[in-house]
Amino acid sequence: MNITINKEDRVLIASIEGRLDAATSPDMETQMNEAIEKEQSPVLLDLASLEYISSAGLRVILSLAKKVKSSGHLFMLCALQESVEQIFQISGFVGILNIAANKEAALGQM
Amino acid sequence: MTTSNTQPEKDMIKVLLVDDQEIVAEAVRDALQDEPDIAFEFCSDPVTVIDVANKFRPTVILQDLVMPDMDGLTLVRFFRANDATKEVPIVVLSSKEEPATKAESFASGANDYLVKFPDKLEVIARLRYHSKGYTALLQRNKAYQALAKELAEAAEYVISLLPAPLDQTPSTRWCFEPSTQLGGDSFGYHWIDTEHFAMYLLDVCGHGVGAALLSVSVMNVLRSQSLPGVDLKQPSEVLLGLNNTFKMERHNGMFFTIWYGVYNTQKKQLCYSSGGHPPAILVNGPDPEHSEIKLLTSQGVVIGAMPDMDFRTETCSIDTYSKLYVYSDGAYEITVKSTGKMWTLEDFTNMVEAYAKDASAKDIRDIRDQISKIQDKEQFDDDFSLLEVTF
Repeated sequence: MNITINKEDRVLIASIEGRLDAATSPDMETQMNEAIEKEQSPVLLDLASLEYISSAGLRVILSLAKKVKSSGHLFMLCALQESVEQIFQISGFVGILNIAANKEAALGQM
Repeated sequence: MTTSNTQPEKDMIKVLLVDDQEIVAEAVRDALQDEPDIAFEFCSDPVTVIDVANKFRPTVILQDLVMPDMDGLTLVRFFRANDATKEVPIVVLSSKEEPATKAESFASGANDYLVKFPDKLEVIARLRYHSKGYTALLQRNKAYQALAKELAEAAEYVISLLPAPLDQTPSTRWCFEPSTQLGGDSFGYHWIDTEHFAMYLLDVCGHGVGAALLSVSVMNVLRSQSLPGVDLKQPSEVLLGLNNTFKMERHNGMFFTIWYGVYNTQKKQLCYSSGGHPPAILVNGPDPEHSEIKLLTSQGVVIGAMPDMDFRTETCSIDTYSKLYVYSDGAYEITVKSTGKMWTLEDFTNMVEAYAKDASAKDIRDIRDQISKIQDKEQFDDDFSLLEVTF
């Protein structure tokens, strides 16, 4: 898992690459929490290069979403690969998180 | 061979020297004579040194590179292949100073290289350094083994809570295999009354004892039928009750997925609800040949994630030949060895359908074994749970 965190305009954009599972999600959570606390801004997770997400990864994304929303900012995901989208569908996450087809569409809403 | 200090204390540094020259042994012995916490053993015969090492249990090995009966690098490899010495630091003691020889020693498995005969202070410092590292490794290995044992005990407890297979109608068969790290799977079934049979399978997010503890808590609530004000015959009510009881904020940030179904024996109907769980697979028809597959899901969100969520109950009729398969995502989220790609839910569904329609198929564990072959790995990364209910 690789994570690249940038800020474009006022949106914190994190691109996640590889697998987000029990082994890698704690690292992602630590990095994201640090960035979120520092920036205090809307957050977009770009999942275009995310190949797999386990329930441990879903847990981290949900925790981050709650944290960002509780500070009054928007939290969005975008560009889910088909296999990852299926996991979001099954878990019901598509109903509780804001998900856009791609980065441009997401930024247009943020 | 000469021996001294054969009964060192538990935390002693134990040095084993292998060298064909007695004079080297004398030099090392002299260097170590004022170090009461260092036990020393000398063996001049490389042919018998493995036996000596297995008895002495060194924490560091000093060895010569040029000996008449055995090449020193070959001996390093022997030490590495021997259980009692495979991780013991080896310091090569040699008169050769060429970088190529040193590099070859390290490549063979040596940990350090000293040119004969080094200063006494340096010898002691290096022996202490390597021995300390090895002792720390042993302690870490011991702690890891204790942890693995505790995880295995927790897994045994989870298994002890799983119900015995039923032979009457509906009959049940299952296969459960906890992962090394212990996942959070559990499942069960019971009669609510004489007409209603409940069946459920849940999967707590993440791994470890924490996930297993939450899984057991949920199971106990379902088994003891203790969700206040909830009609256990109504799947959506059960999931709503669980969602209100097990909020993730109160359970260390953990949520779980669950598939819960109730079979009405009089109406021949199965009603069910899913909380973020993979769809159950129903193979249903008048007979195996004319049976059809149906994926049973109801689009609910994982349990504990958000308060005030709605869960829907769906219903389907159960025909003469009907088999239901409820499972956790650990059963199909594997990597296919031959392609390096992830297996898919569709692949898993096809395999289960073929099994359900095969009249000769008798052991549900066959499915697990087939998947194990696909990933070319005996152990699963996540808990493997598969429950079969035949109506």
